[in-house]
Amino acid sequence: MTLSVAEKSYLYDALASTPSIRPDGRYPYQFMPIEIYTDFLPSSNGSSRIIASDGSECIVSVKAKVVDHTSDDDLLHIEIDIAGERDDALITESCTSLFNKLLKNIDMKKLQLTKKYSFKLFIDVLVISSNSNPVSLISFGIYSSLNSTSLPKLVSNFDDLEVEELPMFHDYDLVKLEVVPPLVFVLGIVKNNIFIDPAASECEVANNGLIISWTNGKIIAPIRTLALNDTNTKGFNPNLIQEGIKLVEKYASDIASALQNI
Amino acid sequence: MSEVISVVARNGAFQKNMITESFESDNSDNSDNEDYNMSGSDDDEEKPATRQIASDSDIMTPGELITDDPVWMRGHGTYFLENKTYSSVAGTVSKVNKLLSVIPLKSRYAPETGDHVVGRIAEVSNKRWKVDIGGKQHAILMLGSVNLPGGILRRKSESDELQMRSFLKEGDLLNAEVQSLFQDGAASLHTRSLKYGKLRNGMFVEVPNSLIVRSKNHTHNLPGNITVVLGVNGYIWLRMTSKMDLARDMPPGGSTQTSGGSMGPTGAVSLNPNSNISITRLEEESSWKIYSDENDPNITNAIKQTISRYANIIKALAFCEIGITQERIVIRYEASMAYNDIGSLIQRDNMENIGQEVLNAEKMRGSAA
Repeated sequence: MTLSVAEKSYLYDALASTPSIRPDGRYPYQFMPIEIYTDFLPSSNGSSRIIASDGSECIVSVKAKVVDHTSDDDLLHIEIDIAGERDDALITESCTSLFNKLLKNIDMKKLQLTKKYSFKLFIDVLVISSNSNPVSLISFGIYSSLNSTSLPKLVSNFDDLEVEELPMFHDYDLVKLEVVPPLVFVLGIVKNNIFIDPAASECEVANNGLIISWTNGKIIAPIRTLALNDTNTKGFNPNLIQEGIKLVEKYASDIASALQNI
Repeated sequence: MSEVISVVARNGAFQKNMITESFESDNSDNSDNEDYNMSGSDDDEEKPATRQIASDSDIMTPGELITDDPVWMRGHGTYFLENKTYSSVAGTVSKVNKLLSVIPLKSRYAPETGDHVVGRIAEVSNKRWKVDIGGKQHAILMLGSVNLPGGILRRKSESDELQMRSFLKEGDLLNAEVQSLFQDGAASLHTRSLKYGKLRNGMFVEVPNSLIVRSKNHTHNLPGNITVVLGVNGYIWLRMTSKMDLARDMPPGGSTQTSGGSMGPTGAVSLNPNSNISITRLEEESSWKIYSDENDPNITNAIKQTISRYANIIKALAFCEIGITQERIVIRYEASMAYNDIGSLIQRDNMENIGQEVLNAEKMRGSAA
C-alpha cells in the first residue's frame, strides 16, 4: 500500500494526538468487525473461516489422526500458507514458528485417548487475503476452529497397556474437544500512543508494532516487536510495552468470550 | 455485543442450501430444454421462449443463454457457442441496433471524457505520469497537461522534465479531469484548472465506482467544515474545507473574498487579493505551493474526527450498495450524531441501519429512484 506524503503526515498526526483519532474512528482497544463461519468443511474435524471488515480472510481446518504418543509426542502440527507468499518467505516462516511455539501452551492431556494412544491434530491455515499482519486473524481462526472441533468418542478401554488392543470408536457419537488455544494480538505504536489491530493504513505510518500473546487470562511468551513498515520504523518508549500488555490483559477476555459465543 | 469487537457468526456447510437449490433449478432447466428440443425438432418456427431475447431490465448471470438468434452481433460481455449467445458477466442486456452486449453490474472503472476522477501516481516515466484510477489501464497525465509552478501558462521546459518527481511522485494523490481517451481505452488526464491538482489535508476512501453517479459537480462542501471530492472512479477524498472551496460555492460577483493569504485547496494564491478568486482563471499564480506535501497546520482534532465520521458513513453507504450523493451523505451525517462514538459506525448492524434509514427517508419523501 502506497500513501502520499500528505496522507501519511495527516494519519500520523491524527494517531499521535491525544486522544488518538484512528482513520475509522475506532477506540485504541477496538477491533475491526469480523464474520466467522465455523464447521463448514465437511471432511475435517473442525474448521472455521474468518473474514475481517477490511477484506482479510483466513480459513483454518483441523484434522485428527490417532498416533502412538509413546513414540510421537508432537501432538500438534501446524502449517500456514499465505496466498501470494512463498512457503519459505519470511512472513510465512515467522508465523509458523510463532504458532508452533504458542500452541505448546495447549493442554496436551485433552488429546490423550488411552495410555498408549492420542489424537494428533493437524491444523492447516490458509490466509486468502491479508491487508496487514495476519497473525491476529490466524489466531482467531485457530481459536474458533479448535472450539468447533469434535472428535470420535472412544468406546474401548482407557488402559490398553496390558491388553494389546487398538482404540475403538463409537459409530457416530462425537465428543467436543475442550482446549483453550492462545490468542495473539498485534498492536501498533505511533509516537506515545498504542492501539490494537492496526489497519493497513495505520500500519503504513506506525513507528513500531508489538505482538502480544494471551491465554486463559494471562499474558504468555512470546512477546515480540514487529516492524509494520519499511519507512517509518523507529524506537519507542519501553513503557509502551507495559501499556500494551495492560491493554491486552484488559480486553482479551472480551475477545475470547465473543469468539466462544458464536 | 461487546464494544471491543463485533463478531457475526455465519452458518453454512459450504452453502448447502444454495447447492440443493441450484440442483433443483438445473433439473427444471434440463426438463425445459428437453421440451424445447422435442418441440424444436418438430417445428423450427415455433419456439417462442428461446427466440425471444431477454428484456433490458433482466439481469443475466454468467453462462446464461441470451438468445439463439444468430442475427445479433455479439458485443462486450457475451460469448458465442454453437450459434447461441451467452452472457459472460452478471449484468443487464443492452441492445444498440443489432449489437448485443451485457453491461456488468460491477466492473473496473471505464473512463469517459469529462469525468472528474481522483487518482494515485503509479509511475513516473518519460514526460508523463501513469496514474492509477482504478481502471483497466493506468491513466496518462502528460507533463504538458499540468500547471507548472511559477507559470502563467508557461511552456514546459527541459528542466521540468528532469524534475518531474518534485511535482508529483509515486503514491501522490491528485484529482483531475479526463481530457480524452486513447485508442486502447486508456484515459488522458489534465489538471489545467486550479480546482484540480495534488490533494492534501485529508483522508482517502475507496468505494465501488458503480456507486458514484456522474453529475455536474463532484466537489461538495459538507457541514462540519469538510469538503468531499467524489471521484467518478469511486476514489473519494475527504478534506478540510479551504477558502477556495468556500469561494466556489459563493455566487459569482460577490465581493466577500477576504484579502491576503487566500489559498486554494491546491495551494494557489491569487495575484490580486482584492479580486474574486476564480478557479478557472490560470492567470492566478500557481507557485510551488500547489505541489507541496505539507498539510495545513490548522487541522484540529475535531475536524479529523468529523472526517473519520464522514469516511465511516461513506463506507456504510457502500456496504449497503446505496449510490453515494451529497444529499445522502449530509442526511446520514446529521442522523449519525445519535451515535456518539464514531467507531460504532463500522459495526455491521449499524451500517445496515444507516442504509435502511436512507432508503426509508427517501421513500417517505417520494424521492426514491
